Amino acid sequence: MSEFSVQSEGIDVERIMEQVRARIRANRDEDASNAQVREQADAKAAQLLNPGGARSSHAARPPQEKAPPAPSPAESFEFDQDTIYRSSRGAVGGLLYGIRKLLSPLLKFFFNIQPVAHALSVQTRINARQAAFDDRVGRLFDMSSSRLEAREEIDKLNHRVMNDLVAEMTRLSVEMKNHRMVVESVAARLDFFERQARAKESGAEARTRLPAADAAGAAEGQTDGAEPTRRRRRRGRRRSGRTTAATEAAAEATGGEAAEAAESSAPPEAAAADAVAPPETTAPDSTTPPEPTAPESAAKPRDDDSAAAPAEAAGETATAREDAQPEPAQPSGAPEPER
Amino acid sequence: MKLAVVVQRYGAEINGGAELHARYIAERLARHADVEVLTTCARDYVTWRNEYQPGAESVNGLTVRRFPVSQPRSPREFGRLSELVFTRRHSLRDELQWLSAEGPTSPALVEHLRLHGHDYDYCLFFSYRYYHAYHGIRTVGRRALLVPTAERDPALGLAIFGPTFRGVRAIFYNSFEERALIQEISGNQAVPGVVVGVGSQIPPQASARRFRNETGIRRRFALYVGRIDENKGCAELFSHFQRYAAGGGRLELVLTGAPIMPVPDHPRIHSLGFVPDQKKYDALSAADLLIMPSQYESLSMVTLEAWAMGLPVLVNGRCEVLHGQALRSNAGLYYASYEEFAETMRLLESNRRLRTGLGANGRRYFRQHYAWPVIEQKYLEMLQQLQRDGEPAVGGAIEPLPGWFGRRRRLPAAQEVLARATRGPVMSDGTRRAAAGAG
Repeated sequence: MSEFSVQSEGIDVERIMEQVRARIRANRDEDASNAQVREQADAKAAQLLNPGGARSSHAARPPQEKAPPAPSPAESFEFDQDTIYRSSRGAVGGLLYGIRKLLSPLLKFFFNIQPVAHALSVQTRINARQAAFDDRVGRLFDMSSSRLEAREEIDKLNHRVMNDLVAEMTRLSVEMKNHRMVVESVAARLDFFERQARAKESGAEARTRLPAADAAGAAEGQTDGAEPTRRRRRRGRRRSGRTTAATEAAAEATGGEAAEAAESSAPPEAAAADAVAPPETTAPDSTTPPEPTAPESAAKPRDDDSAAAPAEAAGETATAREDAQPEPAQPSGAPEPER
Repeated sequence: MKLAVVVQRYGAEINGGAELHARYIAERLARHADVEVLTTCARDYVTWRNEYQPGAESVNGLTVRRFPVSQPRSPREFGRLSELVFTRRHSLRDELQWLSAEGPTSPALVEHLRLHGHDYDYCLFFSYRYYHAYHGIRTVGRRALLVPTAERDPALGLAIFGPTFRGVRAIFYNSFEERALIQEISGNQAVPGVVVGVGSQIPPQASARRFRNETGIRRRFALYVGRIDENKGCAELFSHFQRYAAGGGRLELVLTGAPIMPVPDHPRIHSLGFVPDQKKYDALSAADLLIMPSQYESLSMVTLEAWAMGLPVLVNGRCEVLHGQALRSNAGLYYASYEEFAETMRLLESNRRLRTGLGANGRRYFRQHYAWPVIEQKYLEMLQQLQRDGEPAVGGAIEPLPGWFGRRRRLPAAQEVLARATRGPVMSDGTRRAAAGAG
């Protein structure tokens, strides 16, 4: 469900339901594409299994109907010259046989019965031999048809296995194409990330080189003051409160010049804070008798450490001011005046 | 201002939708007006048998006057007439017979309105389809206000109700869909109307833990609250849920409400039977979502309660009222087929941010439209507007019933009339959206 991107404050049920319906359609399409893969596989399997059309038709041939049962061999009986006069009716048959035998000269008068009797007797022997042959052929036919059935079962099984194999191969080839595209996409992203990492590394190196340059610049800034001004502004945004306190402390400790110098280096918001500061924290008039002057470093722009120290000192100073108001506080970062 | 609330059943123990709605409104309006309830002695909505004593009594501080039902309902006769008027060509006379067979037939209540109707400034009738509303509105005429509680049900297509909708002074609808449907069928656009609905009092101390401890249900679940009945869409819900569970859905289904149909014996379906209100709210606070499978709802108070508690809902999109509520509030999803049911369930079960967002929208929607101060304000504004406007110059009386021949003229089946009405949810600006499953 990760493709549903939901913003809790901007939920649109209609849009979500559109997504739901699109997903259902996609599922249906997936089912349809599965069916298509199946069809393709069937076609390929048919080609494999039926190069000339013979095997496929064999595989698709419905199971053969059982051969009709062999005709029972003709009833075998002895045929002689009297056979045609006999009857099967018991005593009446005997009487009939007698009458027919009695009248047989009359019959011979019309046609010669001998060749007919001979032919029939030969035919009887032929029939017996044919019956034995048929019996043997029938047994062979049964045997071969059972073998054929078994063979057909194996063929069907082979056909199914081949079909499944081809279907799987087709599916795998489709998936492989998809995976190839995914790999290409991942490779592109990896490439991008590598470039990004290299850019960040070079940025980090530049940044690590910068403090050294800053330190050098700070040393130079004590002489020309150009670079420290930029750093002061950055530091001032982060530590405006502290800078203000430092400014105030410096003002208290050193008098108007130091305070002015510190204020000039403080950021605008610090200056604004100073502007609304109570009168007792403002710098004394320049006409005030000279107090112990703060060293130059108190009014100069400070590095992080040196800026923090006066700020802490300012806190201490405020406490000291509450405890003993007349005593001028000393910034701890500043050297003590000579006593 | 003196108001009469006229409803088919009334009592603290009656939990039917329209009746509960009437009680809530009566009790709330009693803070601003002198309210009296007029009702029958029936308690059972199937038989309308007289079970309460006739006469006046007090229920939650309100005077309730009960009137006896002259004859209980004959289910066989009512079924026969329903089949006739809903599905075949019939006459107005058949429809009037159907109305009497439906009940609750209480001529004493109508007689009281005839004698004392003028004592009330307005009579607020609940449920247009019953005997008391039809005859009561005809009796008090322009003092009648109506809360139709109508849904897309064939009774709305009966010709006898057209004059009722056109003849009342004002109508308090439950939803935009209900208003659009009634206006389309009866042509009552000139009647002042406002979509109000009803509020709900959610207890602040609902506890999911208490529910889980009492029932032993530890896993995440979807909740159904209401009568377990095929008419409420429960059969379809069971079928969908079992397929969803077999397909790998993780949620269980918990049912609270009296079972009218058998509940499937499924390891992930738990039927708790009828539960008291406190437990219902506990269940709502423990559930991941509420399912409302009914296709015939004019408002669904439990859906509003779920929203009031910040719970997302999954509703039957074929019910245009619920569909519209879900769209307007952006607080619920809907389904019109199994595929949509399964997909929305999976979406809700897996996306916590969506559930939270829908729940937050629901809470906001409830607060804006269904909090009691809002509901009361809408009622009071309408009543004040009616008082300011006075009696309208045109259309002062309800249309009279046709004569002997008119009552015997052939009318189309109510289902045909209803089928011609446009479907689909209606947005707040009056535009109609496509019905679920139509596209």
